[in-house]
Amino acid sequence: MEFNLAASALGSELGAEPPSGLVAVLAPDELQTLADSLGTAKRRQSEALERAIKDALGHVPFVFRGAVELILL
Amino acid sequence: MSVALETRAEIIKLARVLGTPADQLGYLERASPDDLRALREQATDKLFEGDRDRLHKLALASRLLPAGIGAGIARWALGALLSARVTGLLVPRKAVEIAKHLPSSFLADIAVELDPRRAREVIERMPAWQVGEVAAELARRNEHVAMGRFVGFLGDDALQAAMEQIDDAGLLRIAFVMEGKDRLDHVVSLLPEPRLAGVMHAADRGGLWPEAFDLLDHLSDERRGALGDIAAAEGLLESLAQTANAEGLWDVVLPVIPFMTEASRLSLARLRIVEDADALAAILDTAGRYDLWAALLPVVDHLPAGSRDIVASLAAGFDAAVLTRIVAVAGERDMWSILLPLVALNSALQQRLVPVASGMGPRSRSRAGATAREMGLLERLGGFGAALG
Repeated sequence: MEFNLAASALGSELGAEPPSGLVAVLAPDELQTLADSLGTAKRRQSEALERAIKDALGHVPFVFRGAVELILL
Repeated sequence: MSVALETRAEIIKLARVLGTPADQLGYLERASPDDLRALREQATDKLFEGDRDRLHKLALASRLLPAGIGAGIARWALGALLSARVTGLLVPRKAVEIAKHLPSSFLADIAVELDPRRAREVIERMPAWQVGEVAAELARRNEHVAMGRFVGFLGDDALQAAMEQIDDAGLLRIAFVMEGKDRLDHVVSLLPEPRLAGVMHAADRGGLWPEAFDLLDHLSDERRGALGDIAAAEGLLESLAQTANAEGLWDVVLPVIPFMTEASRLSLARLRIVEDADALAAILDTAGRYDLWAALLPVVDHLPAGSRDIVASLAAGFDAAVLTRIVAVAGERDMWSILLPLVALNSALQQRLVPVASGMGPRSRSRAGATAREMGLLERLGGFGAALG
């Protein structure tokens, strides 16, 4: 049961079934570690994107700003 | 194909995608390289797809702006990660124009974060000089995994410009982790011979023989033989063989031997490692699995006396099918003058060959017998000699 939960956690982070061979050879705690690593990577990227979009608007020259804001926001 | 090496390379690449040190993924060594590759692609897709709508809007906004301003925004506002995510969504011509306004250090930052599969056309359109500059920057940072992902997407001019900027050890490290290794043979064909010698020396100096073996494993037979010859000419075979033995990689190294020149092959017989019984056992076992007897028998002829005794003793323990194959090769290639003196060294081997002799064709048995008589060996071959009669 624990095995299925860990594989399911990894599948949930991937948004797809993880490779079956991988699920077969890894222990549940290893699958969970993998799922946690991917989750962390996704959160880290999303936060970086959020910060970058806010910064970008501050650098758009005034003459373009209205149009760019219209697209981005 | 060495599964262990492929797995190691895949773990390094997956670690980059996850932002995790590779040594923390040691538990993945039990997984197959194919599964790890599939996992990496799934993870990469998920990371890139996660914020797709917002990225599309950014790409759309960039169309409004002149390239110079787009470059400024990319550098000072978006940063490398976001610029990398947007690159593949831009009109390729616009992306290349923007890149012309960016310093190579920032383009290198982008390259590290970019998924080349999503920016194929942009990469293909990048001028060779700029690819070379970015490669130099990435090489300074030891970003071998990042560079390895681009190799399959670059034209020959860009590849050559990049390789001129990367040292020999760097080339080996990149080849080890590169995507699309079926292109490696062509990439290596673009290197002049002095670079190939440099690559082999880099393997020796930098403890990069496993990377070099992986390279060999992905080259054409002709080019593998040429690299083996270079290793022999440069006096690197001992180091190469010691590593192959220590890492259990004879199955990568020995199949190269048939494609080396005879002089290079015979130089194998002068290596210190052939005096090690365990190493000889591993070599012979691999030779049996890959049917390398035609290439190895002439080497055996030049081994030191002690090593020849060991080989004869080991051969006495071979499966009947392997012994039959060795005798067949000796017959086909007229290598009796090599095989028979070896057989004369070990009575157990002579006994094992008696049933093999009965299966030989009359012409082959006659030729072997004649050779034994010419060499004065017939009486020293025990039951096998009697069978050759």
